[in-house]
Amino acid sequence: MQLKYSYFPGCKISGQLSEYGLSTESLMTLLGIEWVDLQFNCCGYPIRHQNMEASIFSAARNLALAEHAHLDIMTPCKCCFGNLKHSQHMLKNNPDLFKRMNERLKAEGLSYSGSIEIKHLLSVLYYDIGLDKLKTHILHPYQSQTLVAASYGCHALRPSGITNFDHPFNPTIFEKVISISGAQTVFWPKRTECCGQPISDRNSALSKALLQSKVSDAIQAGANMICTACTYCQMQYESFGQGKLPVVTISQLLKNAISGT
Amino acid sequence: MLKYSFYISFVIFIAGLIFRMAQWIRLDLDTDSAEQSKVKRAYALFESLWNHLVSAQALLMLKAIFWDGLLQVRILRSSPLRWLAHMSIFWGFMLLLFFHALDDYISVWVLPDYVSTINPYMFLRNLCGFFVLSGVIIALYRRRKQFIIKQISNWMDYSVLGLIAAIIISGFMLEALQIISENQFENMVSDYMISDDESEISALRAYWAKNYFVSFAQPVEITNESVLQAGHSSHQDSCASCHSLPQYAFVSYNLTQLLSPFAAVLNAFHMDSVLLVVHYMLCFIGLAWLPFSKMFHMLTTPLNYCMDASSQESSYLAAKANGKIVSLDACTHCGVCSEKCSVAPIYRVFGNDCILPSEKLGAVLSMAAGKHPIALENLSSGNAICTECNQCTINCPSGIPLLEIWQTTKKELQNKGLDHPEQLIKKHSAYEWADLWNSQPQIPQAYHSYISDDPQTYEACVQCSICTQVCPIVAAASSSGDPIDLTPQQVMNLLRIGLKDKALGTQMVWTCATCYMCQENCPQHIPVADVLYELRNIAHAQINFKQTGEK
Repeated sequence: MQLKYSYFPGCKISGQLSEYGLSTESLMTLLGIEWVDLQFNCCGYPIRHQNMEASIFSAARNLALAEHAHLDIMTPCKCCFGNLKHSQHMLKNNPDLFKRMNERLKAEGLSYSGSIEIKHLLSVLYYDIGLDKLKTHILHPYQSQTLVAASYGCHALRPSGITNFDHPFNPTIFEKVISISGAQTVFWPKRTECCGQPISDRNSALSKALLQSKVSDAIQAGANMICTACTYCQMQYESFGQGKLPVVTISQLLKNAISGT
Repeated sequence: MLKYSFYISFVIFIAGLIFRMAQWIRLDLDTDSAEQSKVKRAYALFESLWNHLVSAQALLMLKAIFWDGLLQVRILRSSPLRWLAHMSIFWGFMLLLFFHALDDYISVWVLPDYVSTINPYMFLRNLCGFFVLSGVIIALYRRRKQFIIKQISNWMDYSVLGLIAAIIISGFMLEALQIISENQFENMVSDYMISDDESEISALRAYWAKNYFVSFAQPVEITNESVLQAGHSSHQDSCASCHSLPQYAFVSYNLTQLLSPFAAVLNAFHMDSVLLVVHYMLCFIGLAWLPFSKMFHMLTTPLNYCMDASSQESSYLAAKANGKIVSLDACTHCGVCSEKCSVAPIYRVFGNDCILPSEKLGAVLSMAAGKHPIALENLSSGNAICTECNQCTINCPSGIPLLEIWQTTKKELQNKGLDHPEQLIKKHSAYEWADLWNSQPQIPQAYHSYISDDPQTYEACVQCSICTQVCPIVAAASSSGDPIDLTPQQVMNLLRIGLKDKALGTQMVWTCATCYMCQENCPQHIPVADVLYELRNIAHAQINFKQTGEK
């Protein structure tokens, strides 16, 4: 069956991390995934600190656009994923909110009923494509000496009852996807912890400390590469990682293993 | 009268031009700009104008002018519909300006046998007018149809479109009235007809009444073949070389058909002369208003394209300082940036105009001109919402470096003492904030089903402190030697005993990384992270409502 999604890159890809966007698009092409660009707006994650109503409305508008196109959303960003899932959950469980948001949407000729799914790139790779099929695409596998530390990203994992991404403390799908590329994965205790990005504006010293403790942990576990699957995590590693370990996105990693470039 | 009106409007135009250009030197977008002396800025302005328009970069500039100025490729890329509208208006109006309004100075010299009343010129004039009007209609449609653009469209946008439409419509009306005007006919006869034989003139009247739709006060017989024959030969001798059939002026001709029942009255009041004055006056109003209206983009947008294309612009600060103001002036208020703005839905909830790039730009310009602090607070809170997705810059058809401007503005606002809530909150302790907020009138709240107000939320809490033990912020703050003021468990306890006001300004609330470790680990299923989110929302509302008690 042909896989087709509405592609939700998120603000930071178009603004600051276009490499992740480009590699995700090439990966989708290589894997034969179809996608469409809708006129999405911000997922609502950054404004959630300030005003939940505005955050949920931002998400609701995106959900309405995707629903109108009859396509599930696929995003490579865990914060976008987490917030869209959270808003979807709120809309489903709060009839007042659901009604209020639909009234706002109606002003623009949109509506949302709740019929679409939100997926992260990793869940598309793991569940929708499947590891067996993914393996057939790997023509340039990594050497097994490549030891990768998979950095999960909190907002996809938790609250697990809402995100339904993987186990909130002992997740496995990221490592399984990486292993398909031929590289080995390492177990590191801080793999499911916060990268520090959410507080980088509010307390950059603490934000940096969080990230650096993750990098040290990955090094201690013997990793020679860190892999992310979230725009914000990747930006955070690039800002504060001090180049101690190379940090790649999952799209880049798989793209290399598929096309050899 | 027309002559003096023109002089007056031309003087206003020149004065406006000088005023706007002086703004480029006078206004400072940021501290770096303010540090440059005005003399240096004036010199830099002349130098960059020279560099851009005359110097060795002329070829680069020509390329920019051709692609972006004449073919308007950037507009096509951002919005094909708007490109259609803008190209129609731009080309239609420019051709009319140069070959119709300025025909004495241009058309007669460059066009073979130019006479305004013969083809192809008569037809082309109507065609250009038709294009301009179609463009205006498409532009209006776009402004009413697109949701966000409808919200931002203001009196300036509509009045500029209205003025352009009025100029063109008055032109068509004028031509239509001239077609049916007896007066015009008689003047022409006395100016150009060689013979003054009355029977020849009346034959010509019959011919013109039939074929050129002139409306005569005295009834003219137009069915007599021999009279028409005679009229035809006089027409060939005296008129034909300068007059194509009015049908070729296809818009004006159709108007003539509409007006024909009222022709006698219109001719009696010499409405053609009235319309002539109206048409000219509208053009003069346009000229005088140009530098003060958004039509000024006719000059600034191409200039901005040139600056964009130039490789030597950013070499020194004075030129950079001017460039920032020029680029702000290049905005046409087309609204594409706001249409593509990633946080436009947030504008719809908050209602702060300064969230939308097209509106924020005006506020930034006011800031550069030293505007009132209240306006700056709106700008500051609006600008803080930008996620820097860069869509505004990518899509701006005028090539304004918008994201750069927002980033500069952010810094500049901080220099002016307008801190973000995230910074501001650090100025007082949680208890000080509580006292401050309690002394203020209660603020209207965005929505009311707060989980933090519901006792059931914490009922099951046994103060086991697992949330605190798993919190990465608590751990990182402790190991940095600057432990956090209250731990998550302590915040929950404050809420349990009804001291929510004391919790709002705590570091824990404001430094929460939203990793949901606390909530996921809580054996009693207390939504710790959701509560912290909610407290931050409430504190944000308080802090935005009135930033500090000191003011």
